[in-house]
Amino acid sequence: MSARTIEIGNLRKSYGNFEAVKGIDLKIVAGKVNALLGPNGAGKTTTLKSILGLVEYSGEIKILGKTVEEVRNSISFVPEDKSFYENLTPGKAIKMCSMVLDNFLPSKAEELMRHFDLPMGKKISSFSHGMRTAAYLSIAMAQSADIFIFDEPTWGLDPLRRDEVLEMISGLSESGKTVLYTSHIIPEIEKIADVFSIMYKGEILYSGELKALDERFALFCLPSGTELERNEYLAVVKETGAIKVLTDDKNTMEKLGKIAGAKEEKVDLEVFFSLLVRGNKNAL
Amino acid sequence: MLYKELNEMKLRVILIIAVLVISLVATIVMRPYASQMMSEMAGQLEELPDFLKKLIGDTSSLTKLDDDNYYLLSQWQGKNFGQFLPLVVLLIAFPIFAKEFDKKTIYFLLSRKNRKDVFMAKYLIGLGVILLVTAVLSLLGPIVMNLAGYGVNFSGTLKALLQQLVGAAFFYSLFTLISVMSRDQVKPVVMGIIIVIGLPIIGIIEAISWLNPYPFILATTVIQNGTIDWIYLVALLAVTIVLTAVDYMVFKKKEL
Repeated sequence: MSARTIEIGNLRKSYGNFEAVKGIDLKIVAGKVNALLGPNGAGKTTTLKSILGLVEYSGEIKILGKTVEEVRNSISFVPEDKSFYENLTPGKAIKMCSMVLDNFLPSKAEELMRHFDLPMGKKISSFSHGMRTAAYLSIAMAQSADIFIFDEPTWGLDPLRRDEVLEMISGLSESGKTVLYTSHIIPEIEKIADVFSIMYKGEILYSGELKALDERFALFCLPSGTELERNEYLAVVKETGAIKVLTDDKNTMEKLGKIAGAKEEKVDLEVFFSLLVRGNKNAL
Repeated sequence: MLYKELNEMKLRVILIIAVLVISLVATIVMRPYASQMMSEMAGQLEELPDFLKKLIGDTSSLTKLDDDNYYLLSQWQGKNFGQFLPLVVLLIAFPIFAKEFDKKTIYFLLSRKNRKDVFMAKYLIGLGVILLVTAVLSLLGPIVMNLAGYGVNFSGTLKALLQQLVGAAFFYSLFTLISVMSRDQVKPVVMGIIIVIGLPIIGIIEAISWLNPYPFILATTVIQNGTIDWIYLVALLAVTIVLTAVDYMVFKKKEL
């Protein structure tokens, strides 16, 4: 498998006059959980739809070095709207999938559905939202695909189920599968992502490894009223009684540390995401 | 795909066949009474004033109802079954694509299968079912008629069937276009009903009456002259092929 499973170059997608994705470049690392983090309307789902060829776009997308049409059998996708064929029971859904899909493992799907305590004889139309999500995830995870793409997979699940699903997603990457995962829930990303990208208003603001965050960046909390040249920093955000400044430049870190009343704080994902999005700054 | 598509349409198809079989049995049960009633009517019509006779038009077909073959062709192929055929096609065709878009299950298919494969499978399975239902219901006419003790041959039915198969394929390609263009299931049904009702109205206007395929589907030339309307058949087949190509192009370009 190539080190870059999915390579996106200058991807643009507009809906009428609205530019949902503004020429992004993104590389999905093989065998890792790659998270795409962003608030609602950031362009995450549009990016996934473009990768899967569900919308027309400009730019280049290569999956395993090929076009999506050539590698569909290698991809399993769970969309934001987890609507499955409601008139089917889980048993019939498994039968249908084994007939429609070439890479489907019926025994694994049944095992996952039983694990989620889904009633095998009841129609999916009678399921709760969480049960429907569990059914869809069971089917998607029972595909012997190389790449798993999840769009907000835990939406509507209770905390216990959510943790189970997150563990399953982590397990996929541990078995060498590549995962691309979108979410706006930061603790989830912190829990399972190896690599993450922050997307906001159709742009990628940051892309990198989660564990490298604290090593590369420094966050300073300065007294309010401190005079700053905003363009010198990655992000400057005013908060009540303080100014928060994010930088990745060693000299700037030294300079900020010398300001009277300056305090260096830990850079975790929540703070980093909040500063980049609120400051709307690119930290690539 | 075959299992999935057949599973989704089986209830509709069974109900449609059941309703039309009841209609066929009713048509055959009515055979002695209808024939007698029409003969009496023909006698009464003869006594009408000339201007009324002109208004009613040719009534000679009423007396032909004594002929079992004519009765079956005119009352089953040319009336009960023929008139319902476009509606039968609509009921089978509209959900094939529109339901997938409406319920958003299309994401499951199109993220895993090529659009061409999905289109071909869905379109051909739907077309196959429609042609099969058309053939079965058409051929059931002479079969049930003979079982009921009447002497009916298959030659007229086969000619009518050929026209009905082409007509059904045309309506299928037309309804599929609406189904592929829609994002819900309501529009295809409403548009389909407008088309089913609107085409006979268009047929009233003589200059554009050729746009109305009902006389072709009702096998008018077969009933009246015993001949297939080959020109209309070829033209309708050509339009069907073009519409099918358009269906595919629209589906291929459709954004989710």
